[in-house]
Amino acid sequence: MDFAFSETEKTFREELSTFLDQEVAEWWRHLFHAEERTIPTSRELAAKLAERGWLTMSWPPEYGGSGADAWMQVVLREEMWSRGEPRGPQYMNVNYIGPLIMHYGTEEQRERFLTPISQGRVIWCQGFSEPDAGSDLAALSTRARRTADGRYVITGQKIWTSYADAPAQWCFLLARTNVDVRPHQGLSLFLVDMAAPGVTVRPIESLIGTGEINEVFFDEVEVPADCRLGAEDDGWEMLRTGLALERIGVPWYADADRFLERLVAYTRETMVDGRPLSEDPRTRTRLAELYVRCRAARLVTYRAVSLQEKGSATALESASAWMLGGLTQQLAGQVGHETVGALSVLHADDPDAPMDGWAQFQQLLAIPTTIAAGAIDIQRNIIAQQGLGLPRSN
Amino acid sequence: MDLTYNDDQQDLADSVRGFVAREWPIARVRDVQTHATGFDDELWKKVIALGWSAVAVPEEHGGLGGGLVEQLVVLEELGRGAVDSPLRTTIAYGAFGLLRGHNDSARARHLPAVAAGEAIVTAAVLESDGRAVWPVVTTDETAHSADHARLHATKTLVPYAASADHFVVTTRLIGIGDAVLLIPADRAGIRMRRQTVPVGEPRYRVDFDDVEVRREDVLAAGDAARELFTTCAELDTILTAAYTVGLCHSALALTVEHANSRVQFGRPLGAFQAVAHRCADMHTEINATRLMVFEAAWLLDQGFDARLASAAAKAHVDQTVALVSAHSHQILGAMGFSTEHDLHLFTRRAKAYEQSGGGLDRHLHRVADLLGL
Repeated sequence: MDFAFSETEKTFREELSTFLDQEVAEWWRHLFHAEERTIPTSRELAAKLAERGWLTMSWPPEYGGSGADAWMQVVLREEMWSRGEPRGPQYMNVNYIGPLIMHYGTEEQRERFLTPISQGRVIWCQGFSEPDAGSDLAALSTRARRTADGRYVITGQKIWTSYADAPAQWCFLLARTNVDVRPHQGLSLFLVDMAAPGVTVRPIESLIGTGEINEVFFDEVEVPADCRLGAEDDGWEMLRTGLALERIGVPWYADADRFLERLVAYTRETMVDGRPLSEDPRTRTRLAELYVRCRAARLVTYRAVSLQEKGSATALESASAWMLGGLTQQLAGQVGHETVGALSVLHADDPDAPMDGWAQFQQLLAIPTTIAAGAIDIQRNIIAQQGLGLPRSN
Repeated sequence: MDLTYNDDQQDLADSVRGFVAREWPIARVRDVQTHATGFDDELWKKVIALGWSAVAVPEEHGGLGGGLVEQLVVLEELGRGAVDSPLRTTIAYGAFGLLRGHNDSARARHLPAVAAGEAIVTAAVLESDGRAVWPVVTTDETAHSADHARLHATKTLVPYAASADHFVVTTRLIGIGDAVLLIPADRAGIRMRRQTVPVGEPRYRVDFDDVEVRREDVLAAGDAARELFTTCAELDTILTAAYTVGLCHSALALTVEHANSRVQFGRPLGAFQAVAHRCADMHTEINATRLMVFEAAWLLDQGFDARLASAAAKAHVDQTVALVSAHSHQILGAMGFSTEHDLHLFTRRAKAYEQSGGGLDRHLHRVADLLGL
């Protein structure tokens, strides 16, 4: 066991941190903070990271990386998420879309899709959830029909699609290619050009603003044969690998840690009945609890990465890590609410908002973190069935 | 960074697990706790012959020169078997009390036997209120000079008092102030009564009634005594936490076994998400606790500041024990309430350790202090 980052990793963290302190705009709040300038700003930053070889450093050199180990990537993610993920939507490319293409794609697909990702100039969205297929993702009904000449024609509807309106140039789409087998055995992955005729995007207003999530309609969209990833009907297995990567790729604990630092500063400056709020016993133990939960989520994530580095299976650990990360964010939202009190209803735009409205924002952020990329009850099913050997529930 | 065992650590874990399965099955655990002293001399001799009391003691003092991490590997596996022994106090208060204390002659005289486990050391630190560690002593109770101090103390929940060769005692003496003492168990004036704790290590109330204290007994005095106690207590907390993690692993394993085999409403209990999700939460929290505890030990091994990690780890242990105990008993239902089932052997031990060394609230406040609140 070794619980320390190496000197190389520490040096990289310092270098990156200095860079980000200069480059991340003062106003940048979060990847989910919908503003017109969010996407162009994140594009600029991703390109600058790519120039320095930092965007995809753990990729092999032939695909625009420098073969760094996963821990360098962990440092990068933590520094990003502790600053509200200024890479914007492109974090997803690096976390799992690129790696899946690298692993399952043809040589031609790798060359075509990985280069733009490593250069920080492409936005992808993921087409998984549907109106009638959320947690039960394998029940999805978007249909991909193979034509006589090997192309596919895709018809269906996706929903809760983040960044589709950014706009995304490509969609990483899961669709049904076979209706004669069990639901999860008839799914395939497609790399779909969002500019193709028949693709329509409708933004949905979310608690955090307009444009974070969307509906995407596919009406007889033609997809060439070379845009199917991996074998037909193999989509589910590839996706499971991808989601395990995604679940350790978003260190929510780093975001919660940053919020905790803000709360500590706030309680030390805020006087209640003539005493600093930081002396209030209940406030102290609540903030301490948040610290403990952040630390736990961090270590479980590191354990998943340790196993990943050794080539061991990580589905179980990544489910635990994702669950703990989400629950930590939930706790952060609640502790912030309790600590700031009545004024925590004030939005960042209001001049009276304490902590620049962070308490309000963090409460809203706490809602999707236990839902996205597999709701925590789905993670619990994965742990119970794959980890503990309990029977399936149906 | 690598949060998995290396080959040596894995071999050690495997060998302890094998030993427990072979030598210390649960029937023996049940049997030993009914012994008059709750101590199994024959098994203790086997444990120390394997060097498990000396894993983290430096080689120049007769130890194996390993780290606390390796010592924790042993404790976690013993916890999986609910194997009680005076190992944790002998290591934390005995070996490390002598190592980190300020008494060279005591160290030279006692450490080899303590590291070898031939001399058992227990901790007589908790005052009779079950909360304080340092007494308030009035002058008329202790009239003496520094060289001829007399000890008047009542300590509670002292593990293995009847089997111990030495007591580590926290006290306050005139002319010395706060002191951490290493008192031989055969010194005149020591009386003890085994307390009624049906499951787990044997606990005693120990009265030190006008017991002679010699200069050579003082491991540390004044501020150094407080520091030494904190060091030993922190080590004890970490060792106990690793043992508790092992207990929790086994409580969960028994629960999963039950959830897989018990059929109600025509299907195994584990097919109900209300049951499966409780199991999943236990699994996740136990593993998180385990990593936090190992991290604290690793930081200490490296000589880094481990105060925050230790306090956070103990807070997490306490939460996990509460969760595992509640969930496992809920799922086992009436069967877990019966002493015929083994579950209570694990959960009752774990509950005892939840509050030892201070519970959740105390450790959260410690975390808050260290965060600058």
